[in-house]
Amino acid sequence: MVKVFVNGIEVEVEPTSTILKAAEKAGIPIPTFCYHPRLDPAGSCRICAVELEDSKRVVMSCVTPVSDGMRVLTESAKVADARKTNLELLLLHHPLDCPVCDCGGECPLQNMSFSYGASDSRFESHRNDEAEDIKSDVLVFNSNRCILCGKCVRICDEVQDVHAIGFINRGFDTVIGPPLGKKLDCEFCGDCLEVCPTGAITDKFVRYQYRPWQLEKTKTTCTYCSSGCQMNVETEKEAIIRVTSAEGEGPNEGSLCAIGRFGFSHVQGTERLDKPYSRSFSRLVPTEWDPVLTEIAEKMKAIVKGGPDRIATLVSSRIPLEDAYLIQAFSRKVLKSNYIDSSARYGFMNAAAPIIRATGTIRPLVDHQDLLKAKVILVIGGDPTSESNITGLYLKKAVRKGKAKLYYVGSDSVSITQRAKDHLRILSGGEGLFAWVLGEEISRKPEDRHPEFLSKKEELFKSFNVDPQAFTRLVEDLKEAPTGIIMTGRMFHRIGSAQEAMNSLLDVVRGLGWFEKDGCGILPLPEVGNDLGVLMMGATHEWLPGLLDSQDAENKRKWESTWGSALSYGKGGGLKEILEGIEAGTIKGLISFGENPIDHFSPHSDVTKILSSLDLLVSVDLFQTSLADHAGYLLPAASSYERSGHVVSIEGFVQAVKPAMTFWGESLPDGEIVLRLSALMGAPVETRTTEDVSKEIFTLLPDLSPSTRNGDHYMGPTGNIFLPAVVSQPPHKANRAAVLERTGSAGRAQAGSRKTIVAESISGEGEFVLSLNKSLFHSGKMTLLDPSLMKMKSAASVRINRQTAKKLKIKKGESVRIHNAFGSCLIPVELTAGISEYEIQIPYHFDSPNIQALFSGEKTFTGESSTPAILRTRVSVSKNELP
Amino acid sequence: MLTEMVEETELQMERDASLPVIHIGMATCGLASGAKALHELILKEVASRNLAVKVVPTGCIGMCHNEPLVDITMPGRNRVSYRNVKPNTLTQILDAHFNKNEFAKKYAVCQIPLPGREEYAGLPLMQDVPFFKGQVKIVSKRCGMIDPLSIDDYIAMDGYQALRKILTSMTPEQVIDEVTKSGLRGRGGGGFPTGMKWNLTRKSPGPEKYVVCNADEGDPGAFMDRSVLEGDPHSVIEGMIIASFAVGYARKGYIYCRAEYPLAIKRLQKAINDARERNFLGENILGSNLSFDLEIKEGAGAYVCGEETALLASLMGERGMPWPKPPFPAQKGVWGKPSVINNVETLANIGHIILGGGDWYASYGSEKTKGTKTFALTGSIKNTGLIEVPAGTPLREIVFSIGGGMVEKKIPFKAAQLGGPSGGCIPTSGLDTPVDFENVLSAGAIMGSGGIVVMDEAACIVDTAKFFLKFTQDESCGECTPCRVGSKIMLDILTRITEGKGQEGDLDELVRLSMYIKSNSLCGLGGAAPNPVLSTIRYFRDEYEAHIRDKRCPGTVCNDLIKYVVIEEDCTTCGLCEPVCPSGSVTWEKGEVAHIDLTTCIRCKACVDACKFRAII
Repeated sequence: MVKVFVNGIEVEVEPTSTILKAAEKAGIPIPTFCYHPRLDPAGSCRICAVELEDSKRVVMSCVTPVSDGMRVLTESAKVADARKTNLELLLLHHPLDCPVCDCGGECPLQNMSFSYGASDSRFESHRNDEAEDIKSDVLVFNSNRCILCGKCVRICDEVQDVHAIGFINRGFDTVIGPPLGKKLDCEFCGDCLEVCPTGAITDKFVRYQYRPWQLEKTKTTCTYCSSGCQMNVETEKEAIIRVTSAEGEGPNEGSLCAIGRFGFSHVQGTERLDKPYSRSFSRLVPTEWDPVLTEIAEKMKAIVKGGPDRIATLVSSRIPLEDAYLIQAFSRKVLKSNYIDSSARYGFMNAAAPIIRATGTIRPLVDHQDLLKAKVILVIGGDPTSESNITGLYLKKAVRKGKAKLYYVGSDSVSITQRAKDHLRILSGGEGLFAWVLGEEISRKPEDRHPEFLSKKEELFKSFNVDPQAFTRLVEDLKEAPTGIIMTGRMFHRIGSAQEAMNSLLDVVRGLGWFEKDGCGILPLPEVGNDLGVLMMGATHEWLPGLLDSQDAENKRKWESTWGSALSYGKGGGLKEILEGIEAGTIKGLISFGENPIDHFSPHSDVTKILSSLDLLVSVDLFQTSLADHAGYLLPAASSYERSGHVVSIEGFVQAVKPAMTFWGESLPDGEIVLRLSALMGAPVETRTTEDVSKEIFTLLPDLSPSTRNGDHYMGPTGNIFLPAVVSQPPHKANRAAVLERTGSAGRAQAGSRKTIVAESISGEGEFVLSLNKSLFHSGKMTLLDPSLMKMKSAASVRINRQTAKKLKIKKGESVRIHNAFGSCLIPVELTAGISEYEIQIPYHFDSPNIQALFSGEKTFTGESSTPAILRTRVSVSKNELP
Repeated sequence: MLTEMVEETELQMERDASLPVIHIGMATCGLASGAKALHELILKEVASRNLAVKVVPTGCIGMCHNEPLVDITMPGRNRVSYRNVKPNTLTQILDAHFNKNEFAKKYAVCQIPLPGREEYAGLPLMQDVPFFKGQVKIVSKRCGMIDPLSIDDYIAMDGYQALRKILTSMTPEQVIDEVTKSGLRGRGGGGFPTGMKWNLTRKSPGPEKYVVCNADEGDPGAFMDRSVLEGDPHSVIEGMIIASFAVGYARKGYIYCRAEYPLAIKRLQKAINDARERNFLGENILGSNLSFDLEIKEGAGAYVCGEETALLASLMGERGMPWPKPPFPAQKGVWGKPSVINNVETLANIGHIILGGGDWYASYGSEKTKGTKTFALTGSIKNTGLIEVPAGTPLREIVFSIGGGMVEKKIPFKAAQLGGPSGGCIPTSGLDTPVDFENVLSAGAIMGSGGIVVMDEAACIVDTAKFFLKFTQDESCGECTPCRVGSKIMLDILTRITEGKGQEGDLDELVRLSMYIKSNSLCGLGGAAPNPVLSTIRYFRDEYEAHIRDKRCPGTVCNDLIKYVVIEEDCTTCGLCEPVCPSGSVTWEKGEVAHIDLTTCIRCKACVDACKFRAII
């Protein structure tokens, strides 16, 4: 520690500290424009000038390191003069249009001008009359207001690693924008908008619609993906105007993604359900809550009377813990049914089930901070940037700053591929085999390996195009690295052999001794915001809350005593068994909370027929989905922006969702609907507030107590500058000791599960494998109703290899016909070098054209966890001519 | 290995000594004066005369005002230099040497003494010619003497001997000690002690280090680095190899050269290829455990990329913008690794220092600036060209002895601009300033990379300041506010002054802004941008005031301020001025004094040029 005197005030700081931070610690404010706590210092705005008392020199406090005994003056005449001159220079072309500027009221330039009395420039005015760049649908660049602090460019480079904007021209003519005057084409995270101090970058969706000081801020957790971003939802008169992020807060530390920042308009759009509906003469007609709930309760009572396991429940994993807890309790206690399933089933379950079996917990062994320390990272079949955006940012940072060796295994290129040391371009269908071969290779001595090991390895290299040398490098790096992490994503979780493959990866972890080593482990990417939470709450048939086996008598007893009533549910099952039960006539009713099973099957399948045979079908949703066409009742649910509760992030943080506005129309949170229904059915679940439910969960399952990450910096006493902080280690990760006890010491291979994995053959005919991937700009199907996100990605397009397109004489922007025995659709192409010549990709979100019609009508469920599998099929591609 | 190579080369040279040699200066300055056509002509002449001679293109010897230069060396005789050689003079020269066995006195400049050769009588020796008299050639020793495309020529003149010396008998520490002892300071303008820089890089942790040569010479009127690169590229390469050894076995070096020097890049690339072929570059250089290779990176013409951090950014493929120091390149440079960045001239000095010893080098120069410094001498001076003098040589000697005084005898010296856009003007009163880092700085200019632009009284000092400020303003990268906006405002004020719209208080504002920009800018470009203005206000305040108060340009350069009048007593009523006026503003009747109508005058100066009696001013 060194001693520094700032305006005579003595302060002790680290020797690596800058003057700026020392002053902040002393409580003395220094103005800044270009300083940003997460970016490398640029020292470009020159407003943070201070005077060194001994040498009388003016230096920039943001880039000058302290030295022992340094005496700094922050308000001397020289400094005041320098700052005033600086402002006069900046105001030379900054139009004083504060009254109509979106930034007015939260603009440091405005504040500084006020403080230093420099309301105008003394110099000959160069009102820069550059026209605004309004080419982008999302952001507007106004070079006149720009003071070229460069924070937008740096955050795009250093944090997002997207490099979408830069400095253009030189000297006085320098402006900021996308290269070559093109339309902005980027990930639209909006971080540049967030850091812009002056209104040079504005939000095109809400420009001129608000004054910042009139907005009411609500700090809440984003529930789209499971990154667990902390964000501020800003409202005016019960309407969301914009979403901003708070620097340094939460796992995101101030970054957001396109969906989190811009995807809120659909929840206040006209399509949103604002009243309950019930079916009358084949039409859904608006009705009131009381009669409709009474009617449903009566019907349910009648069905339940017939015995247990007669009503099934589906739950979206976007709902908070509290609602999931109430829904599963309602199903098991009131409906006496263990037919309960959540959308975690659609992919994440394949990762979760083996991990829970092996480690006893779904809390991850590693988190984002461990990524930064990892020396080798293996990503299989996932695009972290689009599946869990912030995890993707940490991954990029780990490679760039932490010099981690990244291996990417997947058939396509995603944004992180270019940062990878090796991209093992495996052909579609070989992912499971890859995991198995890797597992055998690493966890077993040559003599203990499976007899088919060598032939399978050969098959991997020969039939699936895996580069043997890259494979060897991967194995060596995994073995040598002091810390390492394996990440798996959607394209891995959804394959047929995903569970077995995940077991193989657990073998890898065991073989490398990673269970014992801090900072090492597996980090599977959940698909939706609260995948972890709904599983922990028991919203699937396998587990009671706390991930206790639902069929275990002792576990049942435990919850019976807690809930004070006998549990008489049956064996139950997931979506597969539910559909079978309905078909067999044993299940008479289905209530779905934000879920729509129809979306997960081909339109050729008999799912709609099965569903329409139900006596009772209730759809609780934000919107009228295709499920509503078959439902007797359609109930409006409150969105994540309107209700409270907690969600569990990929890292295991339990963070609060808070209401930013009142319930839309007459909508109600799912938990509230369940409580009212149960009251009408004889109140086995007592009516309580969300707070009561939270308290109950946190008392019964103490490891679910709310926790979040503080950033590696916090706002200092003057409220200007961030000071370094030790990153907190809240209990969000798996307890390593407990995991170890369960998994046994390294090297003790689990005998018995020594099956081989058969490489997947993808069904259908055609020369291409069509995969359904996730778009960076959409989350599920709900966001298709969001006008802002639709501006970024408005329609489905097919990613196709450039060379293939050339061969097929397809040009950019043209549409192609994709067809196979099941169907055919016309879709515009997106040419890319990032996909192999054997594969094409379409985002799964879009209904039109009906891409799912290209899949067989057979209801296929994969693996032990019975995940409905619509992921890949074979197709042909031809120029837009009728087949 | 090298010894064999040297012996073989020397043998070759000896064999060649029996042949007459014709050297022709073919650096950029020579080529601009027509050396290419001349070269072809020489080859043709040689063929038609059936002469057994060797024709060798060389770099620039410094006498750019005398280009094209042709030297002829007859067996056993000294080398004779001919200036401004034209096709017709060439035949006379060749006749003199090959037919009459004498030299063409009319066109000869001097004779360059060669060991053991016979002198020509009646022709001054090179060191006795005023242009060379005060010069000490170390860096430019080989420039103009050898064929820059021939590695053998270089080796024959002690080339790669320093490399051999360090590899066989010195440790990296000893090399750094020797360089430190020599007192060599960065010749790019910064003047940072080279030995210290190397030592800092050496001490920086990590095995991966880089050596970078800054060949982004961008000052208007400066061409020292170009001359070295074009005339003696191997000396820079050898310097870089030695640097790589000294800083801790750096494996890779980059030469960042501006793309505007295509010839330098071509010759450098050839030199690198040749050096690689002979294993001066590559793996296990000369059998040692030093492995080092070089790559040329072409700059895209941004002046700011001469600033070391901006250079590094550009080198790594980023936009050429400086970053705040610390971290210094010695801590975090190319690809985030410790890097040493030296200027071309600095590196070209290294070989000589290693061979001659630090003490020998330090015996030249002044107290704080050791050794020699090359200067590009341009402007209104008789002998323009490249010179190399011991540091501390008085400016007067450079301008009047070496430079030969003003080009127009009648128009006296006004000021010398040193250091390009970052430098300043030194007036007549400062002519005795010893030219070294400290003294030039206190005189208000900087030694910089070595550009000297001499101005006579016909130059306008405000216009000069405006010119340099316009340059920096154009070249500002736009990163920091003081440089980006401040220089723009200063330029606006200066432009106003030259347009006759200057106001009281403008000068104070200029000085105030200058001080602000100097102390608040991010990099050296901004920090030095106001220097031309500050130094001219310091020495020529009256001239600024003449512009502002009297709306008059004493140098008659600023168009808007020029009022051409006919001085009645000098006018001979010849009337030559009348017909040349394109705007019909000059009226003249036979026998009467001409009159100029200023309302229609377009200040084209045609009448001034036409008047033989200097009666129009």
